[in-house]
Amino acid sequence: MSFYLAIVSPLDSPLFQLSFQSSKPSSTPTTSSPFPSWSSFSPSDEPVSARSTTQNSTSNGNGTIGSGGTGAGGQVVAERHMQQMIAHASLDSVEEVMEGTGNLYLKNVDRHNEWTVSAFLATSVKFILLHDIKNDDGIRAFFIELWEVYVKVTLNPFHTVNTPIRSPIFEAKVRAAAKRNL
Amino acid sequence: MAQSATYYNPPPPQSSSSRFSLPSTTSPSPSSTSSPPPRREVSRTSLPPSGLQNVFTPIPGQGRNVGILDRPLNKTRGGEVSNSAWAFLFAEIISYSQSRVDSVTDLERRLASLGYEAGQRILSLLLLRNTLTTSSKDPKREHRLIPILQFIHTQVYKYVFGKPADGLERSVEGEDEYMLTCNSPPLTQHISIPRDMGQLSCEAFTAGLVEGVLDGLDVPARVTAHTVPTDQYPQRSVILIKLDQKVMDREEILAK
Repeated sequence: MSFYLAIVSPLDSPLFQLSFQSSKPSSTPTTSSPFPSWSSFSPSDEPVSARSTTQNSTSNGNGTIGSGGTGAGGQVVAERHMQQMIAHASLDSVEEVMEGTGNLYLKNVDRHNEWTVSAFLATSVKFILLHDIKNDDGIRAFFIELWEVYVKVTLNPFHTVNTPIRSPIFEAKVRAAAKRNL
Repeated sequence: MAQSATYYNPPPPQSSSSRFSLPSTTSPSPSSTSSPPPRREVSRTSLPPSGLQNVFTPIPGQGRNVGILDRPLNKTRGGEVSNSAWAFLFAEIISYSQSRVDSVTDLERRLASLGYEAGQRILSLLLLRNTLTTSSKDPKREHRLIPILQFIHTQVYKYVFGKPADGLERSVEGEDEYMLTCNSPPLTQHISIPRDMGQLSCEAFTAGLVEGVLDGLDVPARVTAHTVPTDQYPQRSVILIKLDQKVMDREEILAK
């Protein structure tokens, strides 16, 4: 049960991204997808974060680690690029849906292979979440908690709105919210 | 302005800080549990973090200080900023800005950009508080033009200035122009404009604020402030909202 979260600015630049695994066991996998799970970026077990990906990509570039390690690292990198692409490709669908509704939480706006995309409009920025299970209430609760933390960050006068968020505390809060709700 | 209150929220009383539990978990041996923790560890944990990290983490040495991400966002009673404090602050903002601009237009632009920053934050805070207090399952925003303008006219104005705006009307000149009037704007009530700066309206700050809120609701617009005095209200000011063509097109589609 892996997730990928991206916070996207109104000008579509990424402000924050995070990949994480769910602690809960999979209850209802999305079997409604017409595609078989043949895609090369099936969720791996190891948690992917920005730091580990950079490490992996650099070590791959050197080619110093063993064949098994390189394979796993390569897959993680490919998966990450895929997640980014799906998240940002779904922005068009999000903008289409948001014009006709007053809801902030837009569920299942897009789908790509096993990934379902849900979005949340925190006024100007958008939260995009890729998930491979169906858990509407949990995702909504997660989004609201994330929104609260995000608002707290933006209320900080030393934070410029629509600039990348690099606070480790913010990341920890997001992970904690994900652990509670997803 | 009530929005500033969030920065000065008194942190909730905390009985125990996690900082103090650190030395006991790293105590070297069970025999020394009764003795005070080693001096070295205490000094290590109380090293002040540097730079921007400060704003996110509690500052050691001030026991009750909590990082901003841990503080509640609830509106506190008595958190409003008094009018005189705001008047002093705004006077300084204007004289600071004035020393850095060449023209009245530049000064208005500067004030508007400050208001814009405030507006962006006010909108998200207002929506979030509405969601949290009503504990509704589905957080909502307005997405049609007229409800958005009414939302600004009542909710935003009431939140920021303590009372709704006095009027909201469509301009006779264009379909895409709306006017928010305020008979005696509280932000600028102590300001009198010198004769040689006749065109200046310090309500440009409010205009920027409204523009920030509109932008957050995906309604791009050009917002300007004008002083339109009447005999009864010499300080009456009008916030003129000129909507982007994109908004008008969208409204046309949604109206069908």
